[in-house]
Amino acid sequence: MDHRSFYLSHRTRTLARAAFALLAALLAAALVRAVRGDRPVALLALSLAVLLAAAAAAYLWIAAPFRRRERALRLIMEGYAAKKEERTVLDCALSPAEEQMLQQMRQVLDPAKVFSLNKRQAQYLALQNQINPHFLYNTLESIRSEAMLAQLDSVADMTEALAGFFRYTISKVENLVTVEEELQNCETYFRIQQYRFGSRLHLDIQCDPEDREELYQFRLPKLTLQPILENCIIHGTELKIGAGHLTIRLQRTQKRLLISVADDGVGMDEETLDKLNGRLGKGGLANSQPKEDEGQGGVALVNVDNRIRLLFGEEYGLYVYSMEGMGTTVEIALPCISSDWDVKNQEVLG
Amino acid sequence: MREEVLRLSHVTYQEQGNTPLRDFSLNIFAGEIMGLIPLNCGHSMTALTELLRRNLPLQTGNIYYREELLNSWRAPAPRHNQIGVIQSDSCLVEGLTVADNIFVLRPAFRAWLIRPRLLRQQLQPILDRLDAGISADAYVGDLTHFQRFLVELVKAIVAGCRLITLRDVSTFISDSELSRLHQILRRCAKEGISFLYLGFHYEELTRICDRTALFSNGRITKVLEHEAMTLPIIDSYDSMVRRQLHRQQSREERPPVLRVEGLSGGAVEGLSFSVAPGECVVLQDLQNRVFKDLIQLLHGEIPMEAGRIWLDGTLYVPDRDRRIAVVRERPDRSMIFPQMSCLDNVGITLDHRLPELWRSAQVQKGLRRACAEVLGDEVFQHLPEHLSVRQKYDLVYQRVLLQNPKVVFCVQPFQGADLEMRIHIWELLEQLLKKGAALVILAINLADSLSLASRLIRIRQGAPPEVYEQAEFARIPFSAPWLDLYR
Repeated sequence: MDHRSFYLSHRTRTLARAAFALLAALLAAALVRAVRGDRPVALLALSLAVLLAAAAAAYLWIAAPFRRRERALRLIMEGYAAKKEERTVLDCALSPAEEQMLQQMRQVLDPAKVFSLNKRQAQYLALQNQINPHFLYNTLESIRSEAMLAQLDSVADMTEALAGFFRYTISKVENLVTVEEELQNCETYFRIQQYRFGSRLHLDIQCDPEDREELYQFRLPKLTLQPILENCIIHGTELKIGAGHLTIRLQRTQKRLLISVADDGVGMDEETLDKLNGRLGKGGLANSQPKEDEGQGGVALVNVDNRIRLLFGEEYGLYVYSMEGMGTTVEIALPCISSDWDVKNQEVLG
Repeated sequence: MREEVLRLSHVTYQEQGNTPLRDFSLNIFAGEIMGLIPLNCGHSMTALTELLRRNLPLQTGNIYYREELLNSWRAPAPRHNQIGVIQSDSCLVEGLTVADNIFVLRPAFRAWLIRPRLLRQQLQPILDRLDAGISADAYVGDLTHFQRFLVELVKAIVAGCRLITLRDVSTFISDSELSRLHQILRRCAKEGISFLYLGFHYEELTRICDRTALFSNGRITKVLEHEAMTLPIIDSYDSMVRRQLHRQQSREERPPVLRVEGLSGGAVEGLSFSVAPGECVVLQDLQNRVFKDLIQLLHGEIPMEAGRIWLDGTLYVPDRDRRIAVVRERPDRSMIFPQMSCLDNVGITLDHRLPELWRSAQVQKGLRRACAEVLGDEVFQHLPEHLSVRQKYDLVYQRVLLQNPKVVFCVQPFQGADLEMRIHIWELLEQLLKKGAALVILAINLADSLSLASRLIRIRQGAPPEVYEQAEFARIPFSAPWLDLYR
């Protein structure tokens, strides 16, 4: 492909020159024939045809790509990440300077960088108090032993759960884990929370028994479910009077693994829901936008959504359904993959 | 493993400066009946059905059909989709037979010669399986609304649609037909066909849908499982119904203001009923054939073949009389004159009360001031077409209130109204009753109307009408909302 034809400035100049030269030649010929006394009908018709062809070419070659480019740029500004190879979206640039700017923008939105930024943020949220994990585990193990000696079974059990939770969160360094491991971590986290809420809190994990084995072997980014479950407890059921029910439901279709995490808590108003869903599906840009609802639990969801989209593409991710007084459901869409090699964006996986 | 038939993911769709769908996400599985109930955005349903029917350019998001990309914000591919849409406006050709409509008008029909016997042989078993009582050779023009609906359903199935959208079904078929339809839908769903059931009646959706999505301000805010179907807004509706029941029970008996005796003409046959001031009578047309002719009879547009009408103690000669007002279906569309100002729209039927209205600027100013207290002054600063649906309804009902008629006929007053709007229409009808007008609701489905009624008359062609007084509502032979309150 002629690289210069990528620029609209070059296309406009080429087209204008060609059309002008052809028109001038035809009109000159028509003038000569008119002076000679002939009727230059054919030449004038040809001039008109050239003019129309130039207009059509201008529309197809300049105006239409320009409009597509404008739309694509607006969507990029709203958060849709454009990949380098997506020529259908950005198939022209105004000038070399603009192309340079677009390249810089792509570098800023590099999925690998954004993913690692999100991963770092997730780790930061989980590890902000960590100094030395081994020191932490040893200390927790000592507390557990002391508790057992003192016949404080609940303290021993709680300590064991806490150690298990930290071990999974901090020490397990893989990007992708199995659904089973992730659910185990959720149950551990729930066990810890149950010491706080007692019988007020119930967790139910549902799936089709026929699909269970297969579902549990699918892989998903580590710490996908636990932050959502935590949000459900803190922002949903904790504020509710009476018992709270949490449900994790797993389903699969031919291509997708669908996990919904639902609570029957206080829910949220439409404005908050709108803002939250507005921040999801931005593929990394959400973190660079103003975070008015940071205190309202949006960060964890946006982080999980970003990691899923950067790893698997924009057709996967999170969506939140909620209504005041009727609870909240977070729907997670993932690809059905059983191996890390099936990840679409290997570059991001590192 | 479940088969996903349709998925809309983060879809934002704009048309004419409005955004009927905003970050809209929904998925439907094979063999599922998915309900969708608009809480406050009934007008967005048209955009949704259009978007499913054909690929329109999206602002953002993607649409997948059977897990394959169908439409995307990146590259819209304009084409018609294999998703059936059935709504009150039938797309069948009345002058053709059922078999021709189903097979010959199909885009995939490529035969040079039409062989009616073959078509009949293929179609009749399907029709018999649905227990539709329709012959493949019957002309569509001779079928009832319900039978046409079934023909459209068969047409969609034969065309290979795995998803069929049903829009506001209960406004054009009766309750007993609705129950039959539900059985047919269940049977089809078992065979793997999915349905998107768009409706405004929460109670109706509860009966049939596996899941129901709540549609608010252009987006899905919540998806409820069948067993968890309950809405906070229903409680306020419920208390309104109880209040109305209490009011009706304490209403004093008054002589009827309108008495119709053996009225015949057009499709109306021997209709008799009476209605007193402040009373509401519901006429339920079980075949959806009578209403148009009844209104035309009242206005003297078709000749009265038999019977008499007494209005306010005197014999009524059918004419355009200001003592009788008619609120038509979807008054926001059918009763607003876009070329006139809002003030003219309100005052158009006031000639009998304010003959000076069109000559005197002072009377007009007074009318505007009086109406602004109810409608808000901003209504008069816009053209009627720029008003919201709610404002248009207010404008029409204000016109009727100012007209001060003795009797108001309302044709399907709740048709096409979302939950919030239904509550508002209910309040407007209550205002008419409080003002002492006799209210006659012409309904096909009783979902909302019954709660306002003092009497129910069910009309079926060729059979005597069934009359139920309020005390007898409990023995109505079908399920309707709030029937338990009468029991």
